[in-house]
Order: sequence, then structure tokens, then C-alpha cells
Amino acid sequence: MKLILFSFAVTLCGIILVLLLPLRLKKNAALTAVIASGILNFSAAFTALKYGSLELVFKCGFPFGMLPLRIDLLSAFFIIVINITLITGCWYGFYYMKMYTSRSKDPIHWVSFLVLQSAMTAVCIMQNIIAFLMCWEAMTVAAFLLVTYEHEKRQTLRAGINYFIQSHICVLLLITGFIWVSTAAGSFDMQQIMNHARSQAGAPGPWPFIILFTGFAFKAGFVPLHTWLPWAHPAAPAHVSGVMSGVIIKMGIFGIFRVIPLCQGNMLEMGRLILILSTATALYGVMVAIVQHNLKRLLAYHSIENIGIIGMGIGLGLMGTGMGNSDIAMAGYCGALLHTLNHSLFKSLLFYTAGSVYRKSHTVIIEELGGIMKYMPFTAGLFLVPALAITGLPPLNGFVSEFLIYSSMYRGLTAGVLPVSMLMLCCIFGLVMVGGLAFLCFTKAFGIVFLGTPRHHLPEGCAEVENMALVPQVIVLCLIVCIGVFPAPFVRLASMPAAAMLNNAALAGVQAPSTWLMYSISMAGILLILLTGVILAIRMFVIRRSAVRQSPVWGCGYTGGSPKIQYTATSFVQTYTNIASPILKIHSEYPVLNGMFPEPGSFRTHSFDKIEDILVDSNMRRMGRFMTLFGFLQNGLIQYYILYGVLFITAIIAFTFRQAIFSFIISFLALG
Amino acid sequence: MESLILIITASLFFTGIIGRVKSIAAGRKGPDVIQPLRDILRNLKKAPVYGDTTGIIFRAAPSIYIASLITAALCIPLGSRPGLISFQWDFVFFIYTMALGKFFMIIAALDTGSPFEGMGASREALFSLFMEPALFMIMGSFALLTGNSSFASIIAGLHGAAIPAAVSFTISGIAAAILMLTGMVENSRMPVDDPRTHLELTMIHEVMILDNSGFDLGMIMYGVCLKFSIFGAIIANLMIKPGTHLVVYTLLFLAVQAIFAVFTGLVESFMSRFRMKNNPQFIYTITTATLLVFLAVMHVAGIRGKIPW
Repeated sequence: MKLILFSFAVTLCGIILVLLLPLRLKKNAALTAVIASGILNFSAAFTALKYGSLELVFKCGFPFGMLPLRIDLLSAFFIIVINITLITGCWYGFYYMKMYTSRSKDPIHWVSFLVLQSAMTAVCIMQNIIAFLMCWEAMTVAAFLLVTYEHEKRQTLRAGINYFIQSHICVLLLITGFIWVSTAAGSFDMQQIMNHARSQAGAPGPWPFIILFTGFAFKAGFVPLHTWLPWAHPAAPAHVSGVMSGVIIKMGIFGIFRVIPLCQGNMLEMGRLILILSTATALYGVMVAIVQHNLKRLLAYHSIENIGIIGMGIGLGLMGTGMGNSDIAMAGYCGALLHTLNHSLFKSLLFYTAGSVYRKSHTVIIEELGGIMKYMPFTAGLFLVPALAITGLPPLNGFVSEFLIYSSMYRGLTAGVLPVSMLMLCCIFGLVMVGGLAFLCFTKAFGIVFLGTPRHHLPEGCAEVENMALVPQVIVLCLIVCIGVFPAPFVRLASMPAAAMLNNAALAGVQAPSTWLMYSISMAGILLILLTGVILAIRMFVIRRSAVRQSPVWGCGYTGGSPKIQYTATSFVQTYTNIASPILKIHSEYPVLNGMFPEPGSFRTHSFDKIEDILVDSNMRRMGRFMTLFGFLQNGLIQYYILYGVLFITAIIAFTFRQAIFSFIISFLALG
Repeated sequence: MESLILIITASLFFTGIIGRVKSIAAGRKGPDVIQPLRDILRNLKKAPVYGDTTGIIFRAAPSIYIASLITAALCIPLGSRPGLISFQWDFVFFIYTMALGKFFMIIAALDTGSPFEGMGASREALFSLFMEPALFMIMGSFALLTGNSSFASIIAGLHGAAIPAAVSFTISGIAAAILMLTGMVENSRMPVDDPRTHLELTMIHEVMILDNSGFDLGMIMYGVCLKFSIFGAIIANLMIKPGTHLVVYTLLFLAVQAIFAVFTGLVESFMSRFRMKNNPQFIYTITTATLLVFLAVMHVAGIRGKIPW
């Protein structure tokens, strides 16, 4: 436990150092501090995993009362997840930030990064709700400062402010929910609140849980509360996008896991609700992702999809608990937690590689890229592997967690309760479609960006990033492959917090997913890799003496060789777009071509988020129209503003002494 | 392991039988049954020619494709004998492994930068998206029917004593019919795709591999045979009562494969290709037809009291 306090101290030293050191050394100090405090956090988390739980209670005065710091299994798991991505993110950012010539904004950036690390770790361990909310707020503000690094761009600032506002709606809901439950339990300590909820099943009803879930769902990006996410991720520098998508939105998932005991008594209903919502989230996320032109925006929508998959696991866990079936619950929670780890790995790596592409080609518009693999072969490889993983293909980590969620759903299907079987069938269908759509999306993203020939002129010096910048990416890559090929220890890691939650819910027969099953998966994965190796070796052996020739690709007699004849991202998914058009919102601009020799024409499509349009934008427009009715008040004349002030003060005074005034008037009238 | 040997044996003659059936139906003399095998062998010996724009993905993809298909074939049981890879819910692994090979074939097609291959890749990715749920739903339904979880145990329990043979064969018959159509779509045969056409604009699978040659093309051609016989093997597993003597089982297995091949050949001879626009609807219809299997299973399970109504 002391290790965590040391790590906070290290971060504090880091912040001071960053502020004091000369400009060129600031980032070295920040990187050192992040790695050092990350390692301390890891060791604290692993100690907690070993002993089950660590606790340290401070006696503070106002406003906290008792301030318990507690690392239980859930916090330990999330501390590990967070710190892996924060370390690799900072390390990658160390090189990524070279592309910005101006150094003046560096101090605030690195200080925010350090604050973010501490705040996120603190969110995991603070068990006093006031302290929890304060750390949550610190995390939000730090993330806001990181996102708006390029604040001179209007778009970035807009995205940042959008994020900031929605985060505060989230905080508002959290405050409401926490006040409700803490008043009911008479304590600020989360553990006592949860124990109270467990002791009287269903007493506060489902509403506190729903309010808190909605609050956390804002952070996590569940549809339809996701609208900040696709703006904020592309606006941020690549390493910040990676960290945001990889771990900051996962704090929402952490929060949901934290408040699960509150829905004691309505587990089955809540589970069903979350499962349906999450399936919709996953489907909507990936359906919109496919039609994006901006690579980082595409990845941002995939975060929504993956949050949906994680949510499916949580919903299944709740349903399993509600049905008293520990197998469904275990596989569901375990799949959700493992997918949290997996997604933080592959999504951060995808963002880093997208950042490398941006650094060298100065664009992330998919339609303008192409053939990047010939210029940046390692970056292409580092994009391909997480792309396979996010599609859920074996032998990589995405498969393992999706497999657990599938197994949970199949167990639910065969559990022998008709409504549950029906729901599971629909959700299996949903998850398969999500997998298939992700398949379409990542064949497009990888194929169009990295393969073929460049569709636009690439800038001078478009070449592989420096070797050292590849190191943090390769570390993430190794973890992805490692979890995919040897899932057993990682599944055990994820099953520990899941088992603790189920034991707390007094579920009988809780056991981790069988190790034998995990060994079978790794055997199958190894077999697949070996077979590929053998066949490639045979191929090498057979063609070693033959005269390999190069020739132009087949053009059906047309040898113009222009890169413009290639399929573009839009045309690759054209048929899909036509089929899915009722759900998507795509604007096409066609020029009107007249005459026998028309002017050169162009065709342009824009995709919008339909839910954002219906739910947020149109309501904002309506509200704006209503508010303009009061526009006459704001006329820019100072004397009017003083008048408003005077009127307001008078009104306040009149309201305070309303009884005296009334009685005065009445007595006056009576006298008269 | 026996299943892999049988699948490979069946794959050697599968496309040959299709060709034979087509030539007989058309009244031609036609090539003999092992002609496709000769083509594959000849291609395997040829020196490859690579497009200028292609890179390592294009060279490695066919090998990964074949490796993924063989791994998938290893998951398939033979009656009550499990495949080499067998664990709970292994059919999820089976389907995703097949998808891995397809992923590489699609990006290899995009690697050429040719407009035709991009077109084929786009179609292949979309159609496989619509095809994917079919097997998940069928296996899920059978898992519900038998209460088992792995490929081998589901097959073993399907025609067990608990379910009347008439019922189990009816349900697995529907599933087998759906799988036959699935197999034909997966292999890009009629009525979705025409492998013989000479016009790139109308093709799916063949247009993706226009630039492959030599050893790679040979592997891809063999991949088509293997994929056919993998689907044939699943159908055989559904339709043959497990526990039959191995020799009889082998004969029946090969017979089912042959029937599947003859069926494919007949469809190719007497049907014309759909318009490309109608393909997604056709494929989605096949996929949703799996709901029939599910409903039948629900009904049986309801009668047997496994699911309280």
C-alpha cells in the first residue's frame, strides 16, 4: 500500500521537475516519472492480487471524514491495465511530440499527463465517494488539457469543450447517484455502501444503479451517450488518443463494475437491459465506423463497438448472477474484464500506428493514403496485428475474450429458460454481425491505407519512424500475441476480480474458466502458427530455384497505371453503404454536369452520426432558437447590465423579507 | 485425425466430380475426375510472377489461407471421434480460423492495387459478413438440442437415444440443406458467383486472385477443393449416425461428399447467376433460414421438457 503513496510522491516530484527543468529535458523527466510511478503501481497491484486486498485508512477532517484507500482485486486489475497503456503512451508520445515544432505548450502537456496517471490510479483506490469524485474530476480536467493540445485549431477546441461538457453531465449524474446511496447507507465509504446494498436486497430500487450506470456510460461511450467520443479522439495527439481510447473510457467500465452490487435484487432485469443496450452499442459503433473517412475517427467508433462488447460481458455476468448460474456469470465477467485489457492494448497500438502514419504523411484521411507499407513496413505490421486482434481472429488476444463472451452466451442459450434463450440467440447473432462488420472495416482500413499505391502525393521523407519509437509499440504487440497464444495466466488474472464479485453476491459453485480450455486454445493457436510456418517454408523451398518475375498487375488491357484506378475506401464499402443507408446518414454532393464537354467534376460524401444528429444537434438547435427570444437582454450596454444587477438584488431582498413586506402592505391597506 | 485424412481424400476429387457432372449435363465429353488435381500440381511447379505493386502480404497470404483451412479442418470430428483440436465451443474457433484466411486473401487482393481485385475483395468481405451467422446459429441450436458444447460431443449427441431418429434427421436435414447452400456461397459458386466467367466485372472470388500465379495459385485452387470438402464433412457428420463402423462410416462419408458435389454440379448446369445486386438478399435469406433450425429445436426441447414454456 505504501508503494502507491510512493508512486504519488514520484509523480509529484515529476511534476516539479517538469516545471523546473529546461524545455528540452522536460519530456525526459516526464517519461522517467511515468515509468517509475507505473512500476510502483504495478508492484502495489500485484501485492494486492497476492493478498486479496490492501487497505489504508486516513483520518481526515472536513470534507472527507474517514478516507479509506483500498486496493481490492478489481482496483488491482484496473491499475495494471491503466499503467501498461500510460507507460507505452508516454513512451510513444516522447517521440510523437517531435512533430510539433513549438515547444511552448510542452510543460502543461506533460504535467497533465502526470496528473492523469495519478488521478486514474487514485480513482481506482479511493473508496470515499467525495475523494473519488474529486479524483474523477482531476482525471477529466487532465484529459481535457491533453486533448486540446492543438487548441489553436478551432475543431480541436470544439471537440475538447464538447468532451468537457459531457463529462460534467456524467459527474452530475454520479453526484446524484452517490448522494442517494450514501444517504441510504449513512456512510461515505463505498465498501459500507455496497455492504448495505447487499444486506437489504432491492431496498433502494433500481434507480440509484440506473443513474450511476448512465453517468459511467457517458464516460465509457455507450450509445446514445457516445457523441463526445468520435470528436475527442481524432482531435487529440496520437498518444493521447491511444490513452483515451485505451484506458480513460475504461474508467467508465471500472465504475460500472464498482456499482454492480447496488442492483442487488434486480440483477436479471438490469443484466438484460445492459445486454440489449450493449449489443446495440456494438452494432451501431461498428456500422458507423465502416463509413468513416478519417482513420482516427474510424478507430474512435471502434472504441464504441468494443465498449459494447465489454458491456455485453457485464450484462451476461449480471444475468448469470440473477439466474444463479455461476458459469454464465463467470464467463461473462471474465470476458468483459479480459476484453478491457485486450482492447486497451490493441486500440492504443492502432492509435499509435495511425499517429506514425500522420507524422510521416501529414494526413489521416483514408482516401488520400495508400501503399504506406512500402514506406513504413514495420508500422504496417504493427497495424496489421492489432487489426486482426480487434476483429477477433485467432491466435490473437481479441479472440480469447470474445470466445469467453460467446461461451457465456451459448451457456445462456442452453440454460433452459425460454426468454433467456431467445435473448441469447439474438445477442449471438448481434455479436457475429459485429465480428463480420469489424472484418469488413479492418480489411478496408488496412488494405486501403497500407496496401496498393499512394492515392495522393506523399510528402518528402515519408519513411519509417525512428527505431526507438517502435520499441513501446513492439512491447504492446508482444503482449497482444502473448495473451492470444498463452491465455491461461491472463484469464486467471481476469477471473480473480470476477470470482470475488460473484462470491460477494453469494453465488454457489464459482470457478474460473477451465485452465484446460485455455490450454486447448493455446494449442490450437500454436498449431495454426506452426502450420503457417511449415507451409511458408515449403513454399520457399519449392520456389527457391524458379525464376521469379515481376510484371505489371492485370489491368484488363489497360496499362495506364494511374493510382486513381484503385478501389477507394468509399467504393470498397459502397454496397454495404447502400444496404445500411437507413441507419447511416451520408451526404453526397454530385456536381451537375452539363453540355457535351463538361467541366471536370468531383464527387464528395460526408458521413454523420445519425444519433448525434437526432439526439444532440437538433435539440441544441431548438434550444438555441428558444434562447434567442431572450437575446434582447444582451445588448452590450453596461448601464443595462447594472440595471439587471440592481433588479436581481432587489428581487432577492424582496424575496427574503417577503413576509415583512406583505404584512406592511396589508397593514397599510388596512389602515387606509 | 481420421477426419482430416478423409477430408483431404474427398477434397482431391470434389471439383473433379463437379466438372464431370457439368460436362455430362451439357452433353460434352469433358475432362476426367482428376483433371483439377493435374491443374493444381502443374501450378505448384510453375515459377511465380508477381505484380509490381505487390508486397509481402500478397506473397504470404495464400500460405496463411491454406494453413487456416487445414487448422479449421482439424476441428471437425468424424462421428463420435473428435478432431485433433477439440474443446468446448470449438466451433467458434473453427469459424474464426476460416475468417483469418479470408482476411489475408482480401488484403492480398487490395495489395495489388488493381481495380478488379479491389472489386472482388469488396464483394467477398461483404458476402462473408452476411454468411457468417449461419454456422453460429446452427451449432447453437444443436448445442441447445443436445445440451453439449463441443463439435464432437454435439455430433455424438445429435442422433443419440434421447431424440427420436425421425426428429433428429429432419432437423439435421434442414441444417444440412442450409450448409450446402452456405458451402456453395463460401466457395463462390453458382448462383452467387460464376467461376467460369471471363468477365472480371461479374466475378467475386476468381477476380480476387487474378494476379496470383505459380505455387500460390495452386494453393488457392486447392483451397477451394478443401473448403468444399470441409463443408461436405460437416454435412456428413450431421447426416450419418455416429457409432457406425469406421469402414461403413468412411463409405457413407464419401457418398455424402459425392452427393454434395453432384448437387453443386447440377445447380451450376441448370441455373444462371443472380444479379450482383440480389446476392446480399439471397445470402441473408440463407442465414435467416437457420432460424428454422432454431425453431425446430425449441419445439423439440419444449416437448422434451428441457425448456419450460
